[in-house]
Amino acid sequence: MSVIMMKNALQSVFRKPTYVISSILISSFMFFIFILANNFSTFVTVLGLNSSAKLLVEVITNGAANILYASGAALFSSIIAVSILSGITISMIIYQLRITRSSVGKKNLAGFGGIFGGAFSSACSACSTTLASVFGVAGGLAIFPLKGLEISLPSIGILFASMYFISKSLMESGRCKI
Amino acid sequence: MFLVIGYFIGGTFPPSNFTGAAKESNVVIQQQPQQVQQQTVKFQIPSFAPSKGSDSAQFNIVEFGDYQCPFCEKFFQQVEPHIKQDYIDTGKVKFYFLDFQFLGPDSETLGQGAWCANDQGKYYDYHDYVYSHQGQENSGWATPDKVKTLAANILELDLQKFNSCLDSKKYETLVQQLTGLGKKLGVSGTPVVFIGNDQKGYISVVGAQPYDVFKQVIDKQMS
Repeated sequence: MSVIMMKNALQSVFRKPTYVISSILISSFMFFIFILANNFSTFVTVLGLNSSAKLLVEVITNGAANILYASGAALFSSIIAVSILSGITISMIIYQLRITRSSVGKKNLAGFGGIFGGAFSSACSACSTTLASVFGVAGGLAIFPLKGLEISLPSIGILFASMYFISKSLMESGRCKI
Repeated sequence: MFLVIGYFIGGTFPPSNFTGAAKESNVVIQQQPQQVQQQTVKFQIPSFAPSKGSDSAQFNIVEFGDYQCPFCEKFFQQVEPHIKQDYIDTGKVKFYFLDFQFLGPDSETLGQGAWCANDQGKYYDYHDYVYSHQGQENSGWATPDKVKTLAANILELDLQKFNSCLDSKKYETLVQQLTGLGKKLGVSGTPVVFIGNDQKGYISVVGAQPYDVFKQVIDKQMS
């Protein structure tokens, strides 16, 4: 039942190419932000050198490659999943705001918790200096036996839950209440 | 918000207690008047630290690393060979590896092993061999017994002397002190590579970044 509801809601949103494009752009942007946030000091160093844009791109692609190198395909895939789900969730929120003119509820905003989780589970190009370290997780992701999957998997769950509540809200707004 | 948080953890800024530490160790931070401010740090490389390269080299590359860190291994495999070819072998820079052994007791044992190898002039033979045969973090590949087995493969190393040195833990304090020096310089993860010299100060690069990043910083410092 809820799967059909989500499917219908997604079909309503992504029937318009604008939302497909925005979803792809937001997903790509989120992935970029996850990598950038964890490699920011190097990014600043490279900016300070007045280097070419190519080198800045190289820092980002290297940051992505480092997740695969040190944390494995599972974490890398989960971060991509969080990025894609973030793009879909944010597009759905935009659709809800524009079409139904309804306010965004607290449950819908839960998705942003998932986005934060994606950022925290992204690895840096160095041992320990992840975003997780700033909140007192000494050793960064190194202390987690699953290298950060402990954070990214619940994030995926939160984003799915958020998509469910947005879908529910969208479907309910399309019919008269008794 | 991500950017702000990332900026604070990335190692560009020293920790908040850095000023106090700087007074103790004569570490000085300078800011350069650039569009994007780049901070340089001034510090003295310990005189006893072994180096790779010509003594007449004008610039230094100082890596703070942990022998168990996979990103240090990546730096060793993918960046160091280029630095060696372009800058160390050509007499332009000297390379130093200093301990920042923070990933557990096995890291400390590996760090102590390096100094035991140094007693026999084999510091970088040991360094290169360990990074070429690195295991997974804290999986038991670097217990004292395993380190002795690793060391047995280093050419012309007197294993009896090495084993006795490692058992005595005579370099335990030194490894901790070097890790402490790294902390004073703002190192919070590994690898962090400082590039420069005493006059110009050092610019740090955090992480196993592409070789081109290191090349640009070295060239900037040399210009």
